[in-house]
Amino acid sequence: MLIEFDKVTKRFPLTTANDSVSFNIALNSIHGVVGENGAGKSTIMKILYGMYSHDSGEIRFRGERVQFSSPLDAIRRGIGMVHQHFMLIPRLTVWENILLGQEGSFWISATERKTPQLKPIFESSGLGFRLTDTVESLSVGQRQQVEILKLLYRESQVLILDEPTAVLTPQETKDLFQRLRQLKAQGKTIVIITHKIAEVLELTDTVTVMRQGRVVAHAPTHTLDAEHLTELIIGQACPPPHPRAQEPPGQPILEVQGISTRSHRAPLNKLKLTVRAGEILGIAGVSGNGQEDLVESIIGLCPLSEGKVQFRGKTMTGSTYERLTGGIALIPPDRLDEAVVPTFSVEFNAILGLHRGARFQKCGILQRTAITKHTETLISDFSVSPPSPVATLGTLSGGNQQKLVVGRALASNPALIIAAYPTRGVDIGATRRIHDELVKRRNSGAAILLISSELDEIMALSDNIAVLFDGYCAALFPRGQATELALGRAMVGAA
Amino acid sequence: MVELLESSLRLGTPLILAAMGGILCERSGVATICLEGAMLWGAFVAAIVAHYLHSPWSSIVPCLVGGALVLGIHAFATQKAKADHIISGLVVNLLVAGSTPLLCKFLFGSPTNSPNLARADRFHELAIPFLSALPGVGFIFEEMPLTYLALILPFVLHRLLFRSRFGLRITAAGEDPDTLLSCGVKPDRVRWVALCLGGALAALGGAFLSVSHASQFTRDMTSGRGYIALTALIFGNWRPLPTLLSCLLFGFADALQIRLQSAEMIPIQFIQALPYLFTLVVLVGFVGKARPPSAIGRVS
Repeated sequence: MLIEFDKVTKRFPLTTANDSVSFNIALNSIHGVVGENGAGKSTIMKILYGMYSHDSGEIRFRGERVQFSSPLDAIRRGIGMVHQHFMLIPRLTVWENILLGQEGSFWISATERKTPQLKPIFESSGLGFRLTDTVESLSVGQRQQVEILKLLYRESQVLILDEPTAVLTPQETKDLFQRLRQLKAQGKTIVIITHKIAEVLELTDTVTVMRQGRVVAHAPTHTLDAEHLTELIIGQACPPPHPRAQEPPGQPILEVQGISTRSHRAPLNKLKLTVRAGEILGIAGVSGNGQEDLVESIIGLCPLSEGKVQFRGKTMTGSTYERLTGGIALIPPDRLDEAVVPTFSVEFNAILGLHRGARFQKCGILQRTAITKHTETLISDFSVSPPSPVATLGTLSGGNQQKLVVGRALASNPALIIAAYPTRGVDIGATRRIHDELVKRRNSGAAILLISSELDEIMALSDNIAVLFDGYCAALFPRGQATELALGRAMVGAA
Repeated sequence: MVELLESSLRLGTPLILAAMGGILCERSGVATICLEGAMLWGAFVAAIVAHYLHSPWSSIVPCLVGGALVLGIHAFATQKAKADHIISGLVVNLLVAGSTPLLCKFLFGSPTNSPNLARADRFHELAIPFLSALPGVGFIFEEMPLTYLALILPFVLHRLLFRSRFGLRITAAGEDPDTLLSCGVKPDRVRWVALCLGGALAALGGAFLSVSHASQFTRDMTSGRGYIALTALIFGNWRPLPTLLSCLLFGFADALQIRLQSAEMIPIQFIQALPYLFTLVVLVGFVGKARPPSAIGRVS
């Protein structure tokens, strides 16, 4: 065994993150560590990587007892980690990012392809970028490859990846998995931390399931199936999804009529869409094909160069604030950037954007009692944990933050819900909760525009699926007629 | 015209030296409004050392050390004590502005200035043979030693910043100190080095004022040149070569101002305000496009 965890326990002030965790990772294998957010899977890996120290138990690496005091120690022993948030400097080039901290000589050259550690990677090609490109010009998937290159340059034998597919497109995920299999063939050991069941089954050799800080199962992957694994992860059989009402959709609520934008990101190009009452329209597409502009056009943040957007039959002209309080609800694409203020309390986050309403302020003075009451309702309706209105939002897990965001958006009974990547970086339990809520709203007559990079999510929820490619609607599939293959082809413009 | 350009070069010299120092500091992620203080301290140290030791060259090393110490205070406050960068910079500026007249009074009996330096105690033009005889551009090669340094330094710094381990780490410290730390380099150490070096360069800019351009230290003699250097480096987008050009441009504005003072139609106060007005226009009009180091001024 390459790595052995023996009764490792780690306590934080309020919780026990790892409770007597024991399992082994075999040399030259792909090992999955799975569990919900907060199950302790990242913690145990961060202990191995030297970011945390454990309270009791021991870790053996190549049979020898180790306790790394910093990531640097771990890197020196050949253990590297790719974090969920990349440790890259966007303005520097790929090569400079790889070198940083391990430059060798004082003067450095612009590129150096002859580095032996990187040779196999460049020979197998398919990187799609050059060492002289700046990291900010790369896609998220390519940035992840840079992170992996960094580890290879540092001669890591063990690669730990924390939720590596959370930000990737299906194609990028496929490429990543292929790359990881290649690395395994070259003798590396790979540990992948994830909560995505399909990926565990597809990629890993062995899997360790964690729940509430404990190991609940450790088995070769081929002995498990999806249902069994889900049960192990959430600790109970899956509740059936919310039943879908079988009524025909009603009046058009949102009509996007041939809009174009001129933004510096991916602009829209004569896009046409209609979302009816009681309908979920799924927008599939590789991110960066106009999703942001679509969302911002509807809420009035992005100026249109042509076309118009109609809401309930009237062309929208109001300010963003008027739109968002006049029957449109938004679950923003990027939680930390656009939806919450992590340093604010839960209750202030719960009224962001609603704070001007008469309910929450009188003559500019915030009404604390009303705010707290509103927050408590949200917390109990959406089982946000910990159930405290005064907790700092940043201390909540991603899933719980997102439940609050969804709850806030839906609190006003909107006629149109724009759900952009509603379950990005959210655990299974919270994902189910959010999906159920969206279906419930659809059944009671709301029009929902669902934007997601997860095909599974789009296919499970949508009544109709539009594929966004290069700023226009490349294909439209009614429910049941979309196959993953057909969607995938339309997504790359080959429909 | 040649006279005007020559005077732009001279007036640009202290700006270039200070701005190059400022680039080092700011690229490492530390907001450095105390360039002004470092310059003034450099001017003071250079003047008194040259006065006592009777040689301009002897003042160089004490001046460099003095500048490093002044920004060492800034480094201590911002990196060790985690103070706000602007507050710390302000304190350093006030400290220097207040202590130099005090020391002057203590040493020479007058708080306003140090004694005039004898001719041999200050720098003089150093004509480079042959090159100074070139028609048209010859005036560039008939300058003060520190001016030559100011013209070479940006190229050296360019190479250092973009092609060396040191430069890479400085940039990384200014962009994302957490990432640098994750690569096993302590960002605060990088910043200490950058600030001390930067302070030394800025002090040299001050020395030019007191032992090269003028022949004594006078109270507040930098009169905002540290801030103008800061503007110039922002205008130059924190890069040495564009900053060299913008410093020369500011030098030109200053030279023009002096030239126009002889014209009697315009009140002299307006003309004297010209370089500052120019600074304001540049800051408001052009600097929007500049992209500062991402982590500048952030207290960790």
